[in-house]
Amino acid sequence: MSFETQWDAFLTEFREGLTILARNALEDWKDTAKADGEAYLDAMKDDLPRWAKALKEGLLTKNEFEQLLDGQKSLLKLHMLTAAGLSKTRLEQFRVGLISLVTKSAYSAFGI
Amino acid sequence: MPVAHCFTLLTVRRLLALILLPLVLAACDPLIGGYTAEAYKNATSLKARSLAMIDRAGRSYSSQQADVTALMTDIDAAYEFSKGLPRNGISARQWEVMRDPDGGLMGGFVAGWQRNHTVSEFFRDEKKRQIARGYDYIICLEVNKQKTTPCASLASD
Repeated sequence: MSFETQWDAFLTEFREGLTILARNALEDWKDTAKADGEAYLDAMKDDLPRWAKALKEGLLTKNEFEQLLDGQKSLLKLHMLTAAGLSKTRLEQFRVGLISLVTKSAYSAFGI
Repeated sequence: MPVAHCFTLLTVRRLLALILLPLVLAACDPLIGGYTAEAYKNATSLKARSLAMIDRAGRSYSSQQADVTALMTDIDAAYEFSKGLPRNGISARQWEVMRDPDGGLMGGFVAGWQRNHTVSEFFRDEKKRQIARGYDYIICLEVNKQKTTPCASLASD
C-alpha cells in the first residue's frame, strides 16, 4: 500500500475520531455548565425571602442576616472558580484524547 | 522542480507532521493539576467535621475553642496542600474562599461565632447548608480532575 493511501486512511480515521472526541469532551460541556448555573440559582432563589421572614420574626439578628448574604457572595465566587476549573479539566481531557487519537490513527493506518 | 521531488517533500512533511503532532501535544504542560486522593479526602472529611462543628455552635465559643482551632488549622493545612500542587491555583483559591475570616463561609462563620459567643439555631441551620454547598464545589472540581461528573450529582441537597 502506498504512503498516499495510508495517509488518506490516517486522515479519515483521525477526522472521524476528532468528531467523536470533540462531541464527548466539549459539546456537552455547554449543557453541563448551563445545568450547573441553573442548579446554583435554584438553590439560592428561596433563601432570601426565607431569611427576610426570619429577620422580621426575630429568628435572625441583623448581623446574622448580613453574614448569610456574605455567604451567598462567597458561594458565587466558588461557583465561578469551579466553572473555570471545570472548563480547564474538559480542555485537558480533550488534549490528552487528541494525543491518543493521533497515535491510534497512525498505528491503525500505517500498521506501526 | 521535478514532480517526483515535490512528492518526496510532501511525503516527508506529512511524516514529520505525524511524528511531531503527538510530541508537541504531549510536550504542552497540563492545563490543570491532576486529581489527588489526599485533596479529595481533605475536602470530604473537612466538610463532615465543619458541619458537625456548626451543630455545636449553639454552645459558647470558649467551650469549643480548642476543637474549633484544630479544625481551622486543618482547613489551613488543606489550603497549603492545595497551593503546593502544580497548576492547582483554582483549587487553592477555592480553599481561600472557604477559610477567609472576612468571607461568608467557614472562616467567617467561626469569626462571627467568636464575636457573638453563641449562634442561633436558625442561623446555624442556614449556615450549615451554605457551607455544605461550598464544600460541594471544592469536591466537584477535584472529582472532575479524574472523571467528568456533573456537580449536581455530588451536591448535598
